[in-house]
Amino acid sequence: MDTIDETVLRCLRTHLRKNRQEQVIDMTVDLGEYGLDSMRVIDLLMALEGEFKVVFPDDMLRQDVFETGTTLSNAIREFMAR
Amino acid sequence: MTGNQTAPESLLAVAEGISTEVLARWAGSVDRENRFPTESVEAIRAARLLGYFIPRRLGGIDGDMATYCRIAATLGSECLSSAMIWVMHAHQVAVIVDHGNATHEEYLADIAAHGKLLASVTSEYGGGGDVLRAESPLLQEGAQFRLTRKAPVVSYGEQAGYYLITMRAGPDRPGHDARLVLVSAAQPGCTVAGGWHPMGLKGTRSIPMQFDLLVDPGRIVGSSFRQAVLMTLAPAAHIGWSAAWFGAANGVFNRFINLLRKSHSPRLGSESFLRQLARLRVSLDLTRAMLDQVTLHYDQLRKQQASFEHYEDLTFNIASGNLKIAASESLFNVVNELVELAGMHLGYLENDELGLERVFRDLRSASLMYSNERLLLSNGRLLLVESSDIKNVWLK
Repeated sequence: MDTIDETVLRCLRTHLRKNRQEQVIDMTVDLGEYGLDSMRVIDLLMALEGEFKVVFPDDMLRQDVFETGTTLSNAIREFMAR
Repeated sequence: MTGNQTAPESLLAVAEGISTEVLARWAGSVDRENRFPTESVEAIRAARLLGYFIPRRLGGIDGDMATYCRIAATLGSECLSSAMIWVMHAHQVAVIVDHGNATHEEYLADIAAHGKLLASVTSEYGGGGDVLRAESPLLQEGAQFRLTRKAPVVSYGEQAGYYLITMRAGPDRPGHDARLVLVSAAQPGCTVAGGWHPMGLKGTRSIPMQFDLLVDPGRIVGSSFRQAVLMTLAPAAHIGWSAAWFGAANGVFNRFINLLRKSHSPRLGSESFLRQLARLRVSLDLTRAMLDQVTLHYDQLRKQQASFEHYEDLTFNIASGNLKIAASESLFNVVNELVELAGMHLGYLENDELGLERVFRDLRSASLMYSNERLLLSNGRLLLVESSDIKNVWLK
């Protein structure tokens, strides 16, 4: 787990209501299962952009990117390497 | 009704007749006695307006949103409780029409034929009033589901023939994975759990209820709760409520002017008074313009049978939320200013001819139901990403 993974995980813990700090988030589980809905995804996006000091382009706003913690981390890693 | 009688102008004439002859007559006693507007709803039922959104082949009127607005405003001008009951019933029915399947048609036909009321059960204790989420889960029991739920507020719960109940899809499902379940009030297990002692809108009799019953899977309406909310429930509610509120404020404004003219009030010669009246009319006209604009757009989407993507459009959702926020705030402000202008005798004291203090109390609820605070928060989030492709994340 690298820094990007850890940052993503921290943002997920903050923005998924039923998974507070003490609870485990499986990075491979569909984020919808953790209660990520249309409003929380915006909060999550703003938090991630704040953490990484970037504005994600539209090509990153896809369902397959926001599917799990891992897909999100991978997309951010790819984007940061651009 | 024949086709001709369901033309918009005929429907409006019917609504105007009911409003002036029945709603106006009973609005005061409904409020004083804190009771359901039996006479007014019976008149609405007799005019077959409870089948408003139901297709004609099932005995309904198959009406559009523009006329729904005008009827809501007409009814609201004399009795806001009755107008809100009609609006809430009509848009819940629209959800079944838009998202139900062939197995739900018998219920729609029953509503159209017998004028049964359909009540919405969305509120939950501690749920925070978020219409897009549910807490209480459906529990599988053999081939059926057990539905156990308390609801703090069910408008006309005692008078309803059917309930459309929001439930979480299952105990292991997140809150946004919800289902709408159609329940008949005749089924045992629907219990009134308290009274209704509000500031206003007394006729809506929005009582607490408890439900504990078994339902067949066929009673679940629609496959996507999110689609039902974004395509029908939210826009039809915002438009209908705003229209009823507009009618209430506009109605009392016009009654006030008529009263001043009838009594040859010396204030009609006061330039500052005329400016104050005109200022209120600016607010009324602004709200009506916003209402017409959102309704026109929504009607166009419906008539074009637009795909779900169009209803997910952020700008459309912000506009529909803004209509509710603006109407609830500005129309209450108009009536509040009117109390000031009318003074202690006509404005503050009970007066059946004008009904101003009743409309003031009734309209105070507008910002609270489907709370403006929540709507502002969701609009605040949406506008941050309005120009982005965030919709692509939502497509599931």
